[in-house]
Order: sequence, then structure tokens, then C-alpha cells
Amino acid sequence: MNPWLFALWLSTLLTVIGLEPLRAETVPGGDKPISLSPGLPMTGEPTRASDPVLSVREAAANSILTSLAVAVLTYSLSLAHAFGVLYFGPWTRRILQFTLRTLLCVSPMVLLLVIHAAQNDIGLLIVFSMAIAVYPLTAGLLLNRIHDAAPDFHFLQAKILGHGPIGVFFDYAWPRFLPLTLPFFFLGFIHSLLVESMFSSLGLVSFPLGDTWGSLIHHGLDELLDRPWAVFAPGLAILGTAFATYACIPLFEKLLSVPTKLT
Amino acid sequence: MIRLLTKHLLLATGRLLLLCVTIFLILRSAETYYERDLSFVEFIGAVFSGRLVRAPGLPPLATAFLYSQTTIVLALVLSYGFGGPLGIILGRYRMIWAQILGHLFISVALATPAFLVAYAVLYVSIADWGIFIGGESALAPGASPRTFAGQCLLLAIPLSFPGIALIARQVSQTVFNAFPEGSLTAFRSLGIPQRLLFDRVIASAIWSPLLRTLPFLLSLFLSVLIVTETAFFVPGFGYSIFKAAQQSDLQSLAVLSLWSSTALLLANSFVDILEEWLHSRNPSISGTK
Repeated sequence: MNPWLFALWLSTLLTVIGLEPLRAETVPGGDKPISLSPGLPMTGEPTRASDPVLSVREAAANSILTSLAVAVLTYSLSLAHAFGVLYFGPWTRRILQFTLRTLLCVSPMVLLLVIHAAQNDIGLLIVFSMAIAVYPLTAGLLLNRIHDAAPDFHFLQAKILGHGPIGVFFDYAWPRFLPLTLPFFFLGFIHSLLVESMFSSLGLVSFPLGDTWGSLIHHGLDELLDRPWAVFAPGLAILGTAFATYACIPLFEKLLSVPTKLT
Repeated sequence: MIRLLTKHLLLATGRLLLLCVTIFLILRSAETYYERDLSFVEFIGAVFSGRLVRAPGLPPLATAFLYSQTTIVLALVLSYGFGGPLGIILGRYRMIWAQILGHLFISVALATPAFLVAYAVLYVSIADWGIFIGGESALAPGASPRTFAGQCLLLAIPLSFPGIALIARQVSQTVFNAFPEGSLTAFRSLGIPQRLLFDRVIASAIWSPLLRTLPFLLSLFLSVLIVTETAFFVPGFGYSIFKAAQQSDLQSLAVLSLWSSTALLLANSFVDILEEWLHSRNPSISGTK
């Protein structure tokens, strides 16, 4: 049996088991902010029993859709970056590589952008700033992969034949890059899911689509001792989804007949 | 060497200047920026003296740095201490079950949100290690040093999970590339002592992945510290960032983020210098582009 298929089955099972207690017993929650002061989670007293109820299904859908939106943006940015590095001249290449390294250094600073966007309630900016947080890592890996598979002389050849950047991208690069780089879309999805759940579990950011798995964790923190599953069930669901996606990457590589393994 | 240092110093200065200008411009347009009369040069001075951090209830910067620094060092020790040997084992011993178990561990560790591990440790440890969490300040006069060490170690455990996985993956890939399938049998038939070969090749080849992972690990640790320190109520750098963000104080948030970015930039430059220097001493080290 393929170990990755087994892992996929197991992670899906874990996700379903993780969600089941929440399905049976809905989670109390609301838009009241939780003050994470020392001692509060240890009291075990329900503080918001009369608050509106969060829907687990909605949270799951919101988590996955938000992460997908961020992943699409991350993938597009990474692809454009990699194409720019490979197609344009040495100076543009240096500037793009400099930007990538700088962005990798400022990942904590992106929090500033996300908070700023959340304060002004700009949903698109939240998604965009999260994509900027995730993109340097994905772009770096993707660039290495494309560089190994499509050396510079192919681009030079296309340029000599008189194609412009858009022509080279759509006629030459896109059909060749798609099977090579599609696994990085899933990698971007995993990173987006983890970053999104990190932000929402702190209760700092409300995402444009509404409450997510991270929000469920945030609301469950009050009763960590009495109802630990309110925190761990959505956590397991995040883990299961990320793991299942990770397990899918080799399968997609196999389906698309990518010659080398994902590094 | 001087040329190398100058090159990287100039690059780091350029990056830092770019960051400072960006932050200065963002702050000038924000409503919660209190120091509008400061010029750019005065702003830089105020940032690095810590004068601009104004959100109430934040722990002192020195305390925050002590906590976060100790936690990050412990997490790095755990990550390299477990991830390096695990990577070498995975790359060297190619039994199917070891590969499956190793890759399963790496996948789970990479897919696990660090804050979930933090909450699990918090939940499991409440009964016995209650003194570590909440209220008690480890740096208060008379407090046990065990408290400080325990708090930092508890934070380092969730941080090191993805670190171990990343290092193990990079190292195993390097060892695997150094010894492709079939090469070990060929060496054995030629009578080359395997132990000698492994020691020499591994010792020179794994420096590159180990070094290259460092800036990314630091970046990851700094980001995740925001969650874990908040979960454990530890007055570190991440907790300060969270508190500043909770109070919507963009000024304090910008300064704290600028500090962390400067630390990352310096670490990045240090790694670049060390890698190029190692490469110049031993050109057989792979991976330097």
C-alpha cells in the first residue's frame, strides 16, 4: 500500500474524529474579545454561555477558502517572481533576488500590515499581506525547482527568436512550468492555513469570510481545562488538513509525471 | 575577507535603510503615530534606543529580550541537536520502514501548528508545573532560576518541532544527493572504507543546509513566539508584539517589528559571510551559489 495514501486516509480520519465532538456539542462563542490575562483559562467557568453559537462547518469552509485565496495569490506572485528572475537581465534579477531575501527577513513585520488592514477592515489587504508573508518561502523553493528544470538558455533562445515577455510566458513558460510548480500551490496552501490559524487563534484578526478554525480555538481557550476538545478538535482539523495536503503533493507529482522529487 | 565583509555590510545597510524608510512612511500615515515632529534621522535614533515603544503594560525591553533570546537559543539547540542526526540517519540508512517513519514524522511536524503543541504542553503541564505559567515573574527578586529556565524550555519545545523537521529534511536530502542509489554498493566493491567516506563527505556537505536553514528558522521562531509567549503569558518579545497589536499601537508595533527584522537581517548576513568564507576555504562544499 502506498504510504502516502495511508497517511492521507489517516489524516482525513483524524480530521473527522477531531470535528465530531464539536458537531455533537456546538461551541459557544461571540464577538466579545477574550483578555488573555494570567489565570483566566484555569478558572474553568464558562464566561459566554449566552453568546451566539459558532458553526463548525462554516468555520471549516472559511478556513479552507481563505487559505485557498491566499495560496492562489502566493502562487501567482511566486510564479511571476521566478519568471522575472529567469527572463530579465542581470540587474532585474539582482533586484528581484534582493527583494526576496529582504522579504524573508521581515516576516514578523508583515504582522504590522495585517493588523493595519484589520483595523481598517480591508479584507483584500489582509489576504494580500498574508500572501506577502508566505510568498518568500514558496518563491524561493519554486525558483530552485524551475532553475533546475529549465535552464537560462531556453529563455535566451526564446528571446533571440523575438518573443516578448508575455509571449514567452504564455507560449513557452506556462505550459512547462505548470506541472513543475503546481505542487508549490499546495505547499503555499499549507503555509497559508498555518499562518491564518495563527492569526485568528490569537483573536487579533477577523477574516473577511468570517470565523475560522483559529477563531474556534480562540473562543475555546476560556475552557481549556474543562472542555479541552474545544481547542484541540479544531487544532486537529487544521493538522489533518495540512497533513493530508502535504501527503497529496507526491501523488500530484506522480500524476503530473514530474521528473524529480519535491525538495 | 575584508572585501567579503564590506560587501555584506553594504548589502545589510541597504536593506535596513529600505526597511526603516518603509516603516517611517507607514507610520507617518497612521493615526496612532505620536512623534510626528521627528525627522527621519531622529526617528532612527529613537527606534534603536527603544524610546518609541509606548504601549502601556508592555514588559521592559531588556526582560523581553532576555526571555526571547534564551528561548530561541534553546529551540535552535533542540532543532539542530535532533534534526541533524535524524537527517543523517534518514540519508544514510535506507531501510523502507525507517524512511516511512522518518518522513511521517517530518510531514506531521511540518503540518502541526506550533500553537497547538503549545496548548497541549500547557494543558498537560498545568497540574504539576503550574508555577511556570502565568502570574509569577521568573525575574522577580527571590524567584527560583528553575522558573525562568522552565518557562523558556516550555516555549522552546513547540518552537523546535518544525525546526527539527526542516533540518532533518534538508540534511537527509543532502546526504542522499551525496550518495545516490547504488553508489554505496560500488564503494563497497572497490574496498573504500564506508565510515571514512561518510565522515568526510557528510562533514563537508551538511554545513551548507545547516547554515542555510538558520535565517529561515530564526524568522519562523520569531513569528511563532508571538503565539507561544501569549499562550504561556511569558513576558517576552513576542508577547510585547501581541500586546502592542491588541492595543492597536502601531508605533510600538512598528518599532518592535523593526528590531526583530534587524536581528534577522544581521543573522542573514552572518550566514552569508560564514558560507562564503567556508566555501573559499573548502570549494568542495556544495550548494553555494
